[in-house]
Amino acid sequence: MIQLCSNDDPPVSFTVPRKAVELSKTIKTMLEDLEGFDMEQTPIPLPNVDAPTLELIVKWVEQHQDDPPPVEKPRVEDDDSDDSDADDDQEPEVVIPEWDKKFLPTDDEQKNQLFKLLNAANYLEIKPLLDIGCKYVADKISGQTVEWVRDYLNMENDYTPEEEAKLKEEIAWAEGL
Amino acid sequence: MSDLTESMLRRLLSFVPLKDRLAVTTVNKQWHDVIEQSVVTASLYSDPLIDSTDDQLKLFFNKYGAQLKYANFDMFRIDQAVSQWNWRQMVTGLSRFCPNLLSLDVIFCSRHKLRDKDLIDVFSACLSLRELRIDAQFVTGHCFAHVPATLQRLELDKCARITNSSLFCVANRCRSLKTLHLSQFENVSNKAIEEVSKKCLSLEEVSLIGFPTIDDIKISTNGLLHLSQLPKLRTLCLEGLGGVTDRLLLAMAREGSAMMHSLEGISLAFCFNLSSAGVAHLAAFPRLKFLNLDGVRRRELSEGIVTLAAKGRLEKLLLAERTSVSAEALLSAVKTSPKLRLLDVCNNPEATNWATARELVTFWSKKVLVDGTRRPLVVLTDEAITWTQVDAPNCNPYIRPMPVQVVNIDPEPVPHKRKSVFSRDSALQLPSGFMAPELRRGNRYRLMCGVDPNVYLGDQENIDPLAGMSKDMRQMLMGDAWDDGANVAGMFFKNGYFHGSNGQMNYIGDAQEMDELFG
Repeated sequence: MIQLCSNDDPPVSFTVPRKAVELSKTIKTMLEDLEGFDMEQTPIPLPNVDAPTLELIVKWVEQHQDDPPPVEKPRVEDDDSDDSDADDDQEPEVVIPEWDKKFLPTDDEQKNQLFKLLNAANYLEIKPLLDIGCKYVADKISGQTVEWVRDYLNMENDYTPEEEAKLKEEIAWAEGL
Repeated sequence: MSDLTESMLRRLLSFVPLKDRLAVTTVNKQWHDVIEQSVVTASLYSDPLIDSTDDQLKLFFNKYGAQLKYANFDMFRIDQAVSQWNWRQMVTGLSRFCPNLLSLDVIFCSRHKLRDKDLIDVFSACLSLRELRIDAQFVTGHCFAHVPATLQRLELDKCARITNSSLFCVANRCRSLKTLHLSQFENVSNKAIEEVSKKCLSLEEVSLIGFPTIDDIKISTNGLLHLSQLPKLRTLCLEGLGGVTDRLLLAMAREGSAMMHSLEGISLAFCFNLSSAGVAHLAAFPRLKFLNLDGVRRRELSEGIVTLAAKGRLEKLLLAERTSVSAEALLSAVKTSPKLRLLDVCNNPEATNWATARELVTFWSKKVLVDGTRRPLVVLTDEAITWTQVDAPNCNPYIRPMPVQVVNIDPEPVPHKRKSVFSRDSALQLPSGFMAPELRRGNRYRLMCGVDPNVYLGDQENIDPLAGMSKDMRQMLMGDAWDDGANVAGMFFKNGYFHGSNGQMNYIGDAQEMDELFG
C-alpha cells in the first residue's frame, strides 16, 4: 500500500494499493526511481492536488486498477520534434464507460471540481482518466458559441472589439466548412 | 487565465471536432494560439471538410498544410461524380501543401484509386512520411523506388497488382520498416517474402491477408517460413492463407527461430489447413499471449487449444465465427489460463453452452473474489440466450468491476434481469487495453471485399466473406443497400462502427442508431 498526501494544511492522506497508484505514470516513475526505499512508510506529497480532488482520483484508480494497460497507439516516431505530447495529436476515439459516466462530477455546480480533477489527472499522467474527462468536456464545448465557451471555461476576453472583428473576418472562410 | 492549464487545454482541444474548434477561435488570445497549433490532423471522413468545396479545402490546406502531420483522405468525394483525374489531382495537389506529413491514409475510396504516378508525387512532396495506408488496387508498386526511406509503416490493401520487384524496392529502401500489411497479393511470390525477411529486420508487425475463396495466392508454406527470421516480430497475422499449415507452425516454433522470443500475438484466422497439432506447436513460443483463431472451422482444434492454454500464458483468445472447439475444451482452456482477460466467442454457438457458461462464471468469480488470484475477464458474445440464464456472483458493480463481464455485441437488447452477468458497457466502452493489440488485421480487407459484389459472387465454397462482422452488419451489407455497398461501408466508417486505420472491427453498439441510419 502507498500513501498519498493532498496539498491542504494539514495534508489529508489516502492509502491506496500500489497497482492502483501505478495507473499514474508520474507516481509510477517516482516509485521506480526510489526503488529500494521503503515506500510503504513514506507518504508521497502531491503539491498540486487538494483533498476532494485526490479523493476522486483515488476512487477512480481503485475502480480501474485491474484494467489492462491502455493501447499504445501504433504511432509514428517523429525524430525532429521535441514535442513530448506528439502521441496526443491524432484525434482519439473514446467512449465513456457507464461507471465513469456516474463517476465524473458532471453537475454544473461541480464544474470547478471537474476541471480540478482534469488538471490533477494531467499532472499525474493518468491517461485513461484524462481521455474520458476530455471527451466529456469536449462534447459539451462542441457546437457552442464563443460566448458560451468563455463563460464555461471562465476565460477573459482579452481582445479589443476591433481585434475581434478583424479576426472573425479572417476566419470567415471556415464558416461553411 | 482559464481554470484549465494550457497543456490541459491542448489535450482537450484534440477531442473537439475541427469545425467546432475553428468556430470558437476568438475566445481569447491564449485560446486562439492553442487552437491554431492544434490543427495537425485532417481526417476528411470525420471532419466537415468532407462536404467543403475544393476552394475551401485549398484554403484550409494552404493555411494549415505545413503543420499537418496526419492526413486521411478516406471517403473523400465518395458520393460525388468527380472524375478519376480530378480526384487524383485533388489528393496529390493537397498533399503538396503538407511537406511535414507523417501519415497518409487513402483506404476507403470507392471508385477513385491512386496510381503509381500519384504516389510518386506524394513521395516527392512528403519527404518524411512515416506511415502509408492505401487501397492499392491500381498500384503496381514501381513508385516504391521513390518511397521515403523514413517509412515505418506500410499497409497496402487489395494489392493484386503489386509485384515482387516493388517489394524488393521496399525491402531495400525502408530498413526501418516496423509494420507491413498486405492483402490479396496475387502477384507476390515466396521470393519477395524472403527478401523482406532478410532486409527489414526491424519489422515488429507483419500481416499477410488472403481470402479463403481466392486461391491465386503464390505464397506457400516455404515462403511464409522466412518470416521466422525476423528477430523483433511481435505480432504476426496470417489470415485466410492456404500456406498456413501444421508444418509451418512446427518449423516456426523450432529452436533457433529468430522470432522465438519476441512473438507475442498471432492471428491465423480463416486458415483452413490448420489442425489441432499445429495449434499445439504454438505452445513453444515463450511469450505468446494473444491468439486469434477466428473462423478456423474445417478441423477440430480443441486438443491444440487445450495444450497451448496449459502453458498458462494466454491473455486474449479469439474464437469467433465458429472456430471448431468444443465447449468442454474451451472451459478447460479458460481454467488453465490465469492471465486471461478477453475471450471472444461471437457467432460460435458450439463453443459455449449453458452448463459450461455457468461453470466458467462460477469458477472465475471464485478466483477473483475469494482467492484474489485472477483479474476480471471480459467475454464477448452474441448468444444472449445462453448467458442470460447464468447468474452473476453477488457483487456490486459500482464498487468493483464484475469478475466476469459478458458483453453482448448483438444490437438486440438483452432481456433485463436483475442479477445478470451482462456488462453495462458495450464493447466500445471497454478500457482500450482489453481490445489490444489488434489481431484482426484482416477485417478491414474482408470488409472491403464484402462490399464488392464481384468478389462476393465468386464465393463457391459457401464461406462467408463478411465473417468477422456482427450478424446485423452482414445483413445490412447483403440486403437492399447492396448496390450502394461502398456507401454503406462509408456510413459505418463515418459513424465509428469501423475504424479503418487500426484494422479492428468494432461491433455495432446502438440498435436505435442503426435504425436511424438505415431506416
